[in-house]
Amino acid sequence: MFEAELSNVEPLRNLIKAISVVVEEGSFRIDEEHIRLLAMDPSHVAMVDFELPKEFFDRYSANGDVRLSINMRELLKFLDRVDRGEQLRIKLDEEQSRVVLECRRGGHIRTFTMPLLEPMEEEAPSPKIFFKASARALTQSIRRAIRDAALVSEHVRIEISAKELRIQASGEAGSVSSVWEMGADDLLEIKAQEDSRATFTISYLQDMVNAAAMSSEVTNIELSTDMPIKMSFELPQGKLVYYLAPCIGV
Amino acid sequence: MEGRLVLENPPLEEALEALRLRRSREDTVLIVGECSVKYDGRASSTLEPGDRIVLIKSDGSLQVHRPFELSPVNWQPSGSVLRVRVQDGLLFVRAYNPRGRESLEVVFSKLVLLAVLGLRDTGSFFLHASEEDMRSAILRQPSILEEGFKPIAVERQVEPGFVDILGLDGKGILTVVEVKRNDASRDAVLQLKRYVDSLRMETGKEVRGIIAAPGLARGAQSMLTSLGLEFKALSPQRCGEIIKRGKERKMTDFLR
Repeated sequence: MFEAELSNVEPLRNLIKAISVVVEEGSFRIDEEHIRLLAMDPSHVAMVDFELPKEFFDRYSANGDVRLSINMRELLKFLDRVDRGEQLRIKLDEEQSRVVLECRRGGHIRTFTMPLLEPMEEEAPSPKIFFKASARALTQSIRRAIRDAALVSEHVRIEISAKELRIQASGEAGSVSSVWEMGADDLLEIKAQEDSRATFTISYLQDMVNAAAMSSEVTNIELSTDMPIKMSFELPQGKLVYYLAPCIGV
Repeated sequence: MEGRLVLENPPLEEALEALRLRRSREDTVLIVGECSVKYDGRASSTLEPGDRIVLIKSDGSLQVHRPFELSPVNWQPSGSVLRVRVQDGLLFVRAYNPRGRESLEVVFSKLVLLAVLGLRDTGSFFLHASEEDMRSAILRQPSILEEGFKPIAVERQVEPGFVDILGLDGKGILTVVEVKRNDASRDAVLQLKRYVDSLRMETGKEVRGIIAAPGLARGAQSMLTSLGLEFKALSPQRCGEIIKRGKERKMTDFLR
């Protein structure tokens, strides 16, 4: 059994959008305290680790462990139809294997239902990577740097040393770099046991950062040379973390 | 190899069952039968009914082959998401590629063969690279030729022909590199000598000449030494690996 209610759909919609850049179909694990999702994209290059506590909702009740497998894009279409000021109730109808979205305002109730998917293959294990460097920065600032990089290349190189965070790209059209020196206004923290650098596909990073920027103002980037990047987007409640595998030799 | 299931002329419902019971997405599936195909994505296409061979591999890629031609007539890349259903007496196999937002639907009216196979293949593929690949490998990772080497031009024209790679060595000396896929012959040595001479004339400076090849043919070594040229052993396999490495890794590489 699962049922939850919230009065402002916006934060939820933004988070579902952020999940949908990695997986089209996802399987939420719901228990009495949390909604969680850990999934890998079909080409196995990116992962999303997502969690919402029950406090995110105005009302929340769940019995036992519930799996809710759903098509994210279809869900978004419905969430897009929920108006500001409408109270949204999300209900799992296990008997008929569907999700029911109820929007209420005054005495008017609109109901959307969508079918559940067959449960996915087992959940991806959480990657255990020891990161040697990290930088905490304003999400918008990181987003701008990645958009800049996309002007000249399909790949972007991210470097963290004890002194600076650097995001750069180069291609036939030219080169672009953003450097945040220690103490820069939009760089909140930087740590490096070892200078670390790795290269990533811009299209993925861009999708992730663009989507996450709607929910989060601060990003924590963790890096080790030629290892996946971990980007944790700080939320008022809950967790939104992406992992992206590096490109080697580009 | 683990043969899981092979059905001849199966009714569509039975085939659907078998596809759904596929023990894991790691299985490879072969479907032969009469089908039509619809693709929607960057463009759209329709393939009228005919006898086809459909191959679904463990990475989620799908190919539709006609009984002729080397390449598939329709396909979806790795990472596609597969859905199957039976409706109105037809078997629908749909592969959706989330990255490209494109979908391919194969509609079978009759099946001749369905095989669901647990295939295992961990062998490495050794790429025996071409001379061009060897050149790209040197450009990508110049240190395989010599520490400090910096390529400056490819296929640069000099009086007697085209130099494979022109670069500067660690001391800034102009260096001509001639790449050979097989053991370099005396002809290759003479060719390099002509390039080096021509560049010496042109620049009036010292020029080094290096042959990069898996080995030297008989007689080439003594000729090389007497002409003051050098040899660097470089195999096409090694170059192939360097080229192959330059790609995206997977998260799964980091989960173990």
